[in-house]
Amino acid sequence: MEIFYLILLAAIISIDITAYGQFMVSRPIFCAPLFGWLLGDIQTGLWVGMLIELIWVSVIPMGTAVPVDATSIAILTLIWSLSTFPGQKSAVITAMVFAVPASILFRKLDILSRMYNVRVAHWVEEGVLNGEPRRLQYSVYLGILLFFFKALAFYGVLVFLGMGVMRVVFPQLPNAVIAGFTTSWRLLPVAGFGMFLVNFWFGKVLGINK
Amino acid sequence: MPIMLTRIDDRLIHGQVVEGWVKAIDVNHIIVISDEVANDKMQQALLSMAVPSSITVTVLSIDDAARVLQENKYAKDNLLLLLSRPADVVRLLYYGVAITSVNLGGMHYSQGKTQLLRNLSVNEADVDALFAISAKGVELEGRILPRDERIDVIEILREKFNR
Amino acid sequence: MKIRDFISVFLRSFALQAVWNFERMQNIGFAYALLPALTALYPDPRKRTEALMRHLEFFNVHPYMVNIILGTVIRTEQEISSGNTSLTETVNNTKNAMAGPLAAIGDVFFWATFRPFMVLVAVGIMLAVLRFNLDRFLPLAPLFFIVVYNVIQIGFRLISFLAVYRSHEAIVLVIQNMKFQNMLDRIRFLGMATLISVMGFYFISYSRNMYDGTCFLLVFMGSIFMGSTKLPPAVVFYAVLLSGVVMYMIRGYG
Repeated sequence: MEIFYLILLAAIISIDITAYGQFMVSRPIFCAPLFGWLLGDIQTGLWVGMLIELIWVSVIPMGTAVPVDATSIAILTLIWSLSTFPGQKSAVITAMVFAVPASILFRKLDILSRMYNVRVAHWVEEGVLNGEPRRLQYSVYLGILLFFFKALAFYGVLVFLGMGVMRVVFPQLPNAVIAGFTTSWRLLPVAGFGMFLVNFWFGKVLGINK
Repeated sequence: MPIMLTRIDDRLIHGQVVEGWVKAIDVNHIIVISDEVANDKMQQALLSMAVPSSITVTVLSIDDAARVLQENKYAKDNLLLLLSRPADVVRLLYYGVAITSVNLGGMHYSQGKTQLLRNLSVNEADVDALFAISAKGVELEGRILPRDERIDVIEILREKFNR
Repeated sequence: MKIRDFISVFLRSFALQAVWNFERMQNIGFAYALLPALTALYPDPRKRTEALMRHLEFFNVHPYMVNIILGTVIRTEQEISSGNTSLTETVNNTKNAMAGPLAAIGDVFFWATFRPFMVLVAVGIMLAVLRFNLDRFLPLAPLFFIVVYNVIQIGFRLISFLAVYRSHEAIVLVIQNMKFQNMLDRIRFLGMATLISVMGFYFISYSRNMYDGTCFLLVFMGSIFMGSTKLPPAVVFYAVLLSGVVMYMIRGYG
């Protein structure tokens, strides 16, 4: 089934976030149009990618500070909305409403993986001391696999959960909310521009202390 | 000389500091207070390259820093005081420098230390110094970034080391 | 050391964060990347283990900057392996002295400035393609981003690796010559100019009447205000959704 391939792809792309390369294929500006295209609506993918990149532009990884995961917001939003109610902007926004909190779970799993890696690191050190430097490469493969399987489990569960939630919740939304969400479709990029401006400005903005 | 933040971070200037803190708390002058760095020209050059052109970096030994702060030399700047270990903060306080709160941004792991938080690993000397700082009525909070919750480090130390 | 070893180190440097852990961060990835060089420099397994253990200490740097440190360390280890054992203490001091500032430069330049700028350019391309119904060019924006971004990323990694390894000057001078802060200011300026253009284009294309225009302005100013405070972006997102509902209810349109 198509959904399983999408989940697999999501897990593979998630490797780029931390484990390997940082080639930015995991960034919404790239993976959102990709998933949009695979789900039959590249234009929605492009728009969603733009929204998320701009609004979350100030979120970056810095040392121990693990950031909000924009990739999962993008992928979940697209899979959830395009496979249940394609062609409806308000459905996409509704999906995003749930995808944003879902990404918090992804971040927690990420932190847990990093804690587990401490044990892997100790194992490697022990091996090196005993003359077995091959543990270094084993641990790297293990590390990449760990990040992969964590993402696979996450998407495996949440994709289906979210699709279920969408099917139940979306038809029950009041008209005002649906229409409001459709309006927000064009307002969100504007907010994104505002967030971008704040991020790129040299000093104080409007005299407000950040 | 508003001291916007006093931070203990053994990596001194790095990504979190420049991108996470300096922008958020509107600092325009970083004073690195460390005897080692004050004697290391290479490190000084590296540190000054790491910050945007709108920020000044000054490197001072602990004695010089205490004097400069007492004299209120940088009255017009928003200062970030960066120190690499708690023992150095203790010395500053001993000189009478007015610090009310210290941010424990980064004490990273090395052999022999105990890891308490993601960004906090301590040995005996560190623990002693931290308690000494707290004894002077200085707040010790463990935020990684400005928006984080202010973790009470002394609480954690008390629990872990039964003091 | 042969070319083959350099290529191996370079390729392995992409896995720097594979075993990222909270205790010593990128230590495993760094040692993994350095291993081919150490294997070549230290045929004696005991010396090799010693060298490896040196490099399993705490380490954290911006991933694109790691090649600068790898180049420096390889040069230092070459000296150590040819007898200058006094450097075994300083190799880590130098490594850590460089890692902090390079991380700062990397985070500010690549994550906070260059990437958002490239994203914005891609957004501009995307909006133009959408607005002018150039369906065949729909994939252009993301592809443009990925290709240009990675040419620069990989190019930088490679060039900095070679520059640092080959240079006879002090590492500090080499880094200084990369003039990051200058480029940073220029890209910031370009970014602002691009933002104004993209915003203007967006307003013209997607605002249909005075009411739309006013809503856009209100949301724009609101997001600037909220973005300047400590509120997380998610809150801004939900706030816009709320405004969308409110704005619909005031004027009854969608």
